[in-house]
Amino acid sequence: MAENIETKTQARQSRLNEILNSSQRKTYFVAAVTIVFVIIMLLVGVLPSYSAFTSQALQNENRQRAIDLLELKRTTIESLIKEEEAKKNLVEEFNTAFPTKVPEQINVLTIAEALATKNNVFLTNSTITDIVNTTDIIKKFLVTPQVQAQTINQTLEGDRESLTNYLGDIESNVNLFDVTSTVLSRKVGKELELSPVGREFKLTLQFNYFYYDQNPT
Amino acid sequence: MAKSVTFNLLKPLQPPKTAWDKIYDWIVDKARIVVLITILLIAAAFVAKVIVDTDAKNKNKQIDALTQRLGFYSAEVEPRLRLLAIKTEFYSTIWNKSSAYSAVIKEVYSYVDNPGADLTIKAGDGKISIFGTEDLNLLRNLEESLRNSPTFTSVTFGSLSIDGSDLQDSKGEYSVSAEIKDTKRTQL
Repeated sequence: MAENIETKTQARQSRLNEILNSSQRKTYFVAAVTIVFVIIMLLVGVLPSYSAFTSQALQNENRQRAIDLLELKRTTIESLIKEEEAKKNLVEEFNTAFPTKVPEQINVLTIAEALATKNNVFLTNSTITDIVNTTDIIKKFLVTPQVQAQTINQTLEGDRESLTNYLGDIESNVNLFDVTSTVLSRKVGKELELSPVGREFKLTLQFNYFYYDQNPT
Repeated sequence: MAKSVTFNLLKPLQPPKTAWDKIYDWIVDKARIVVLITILLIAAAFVAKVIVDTDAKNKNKQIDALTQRLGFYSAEVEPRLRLLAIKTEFYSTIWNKSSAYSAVIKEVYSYVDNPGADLTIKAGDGKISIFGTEDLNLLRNLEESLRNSPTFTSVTFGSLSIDGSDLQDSKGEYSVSAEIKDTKRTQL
């Protein structure tokens, strides 16, 4: 009887071991399948979604950059328009001083006459040459060929101080005058004898008057 | 001895599970957390994608509106403003690099006491030349002043000639030249 019980116990033990071993193998299998499942879900579902999202987010960043630049340009242009409107007179004066076409010769003469009257000197001669070597201008001022100039030669008479003041006014004039050569001398001999009072000195002046030609030849 | 068979009607016997049943059981049991998390992630990504897509659409509209508005300016206003900006820059450059000689001439005359002195002052290309017939003391003063002046450098006497009548008056014909250190006018 006891032997029979022992045999049954051994059989149950053996059966239990069998079940346990089998269950352990199943657990490994389930874990492996779960990992494979997770990987497949990541590759097929999550990663493409994430990739699409980040790619669109990146494109949106570029769009935002473009918007910022366009917005900056808009605000800059609009503020410049306002500023231009507020300083209309100044802009007009600037465009007259630095014109976008060959200045009328009469303009230079008018300016010179006005300065001569102001300084009590006498403009005896004035010649204007339209053709100036642009290469020299570009070399001296490091500008583009659009910047061109007229050369003006003048002879004036007056007293020494007035002529020097006239020269100073030409140099500080709002129009772009670059003095290239100047000779200030006292008249001598007969010229001095015939000269009226206050016109004993003579100023010979050469300067360039600049303008901006948008379509230079 | 005959084997006894019992039937429990409260617990009916189930048919053996098919492969699909096993998969279903596995998904709803062991893998349910993983599936749930994955679904949540995909849902979150989808929501985020919808958000960024809407954002992209709005941004495109904004870009179109701004481009249209700037297009309005590009025909006339923008070229005018650009031209003004270019001209302003060149104006400043030309002004700052232009030459001025009136201050230099005034300085030379300040060294000459005699207002009726026979002087000719020639200035250009960064140089100044003074010539004429004048009192030798005046010339000495002029030379010394030019040499001591911070405005000039390389002061040289080109010539000095004295003839008989001039010698009596202590006068001489001369020429002096010097380089001007800075001919630039007041900078903008």
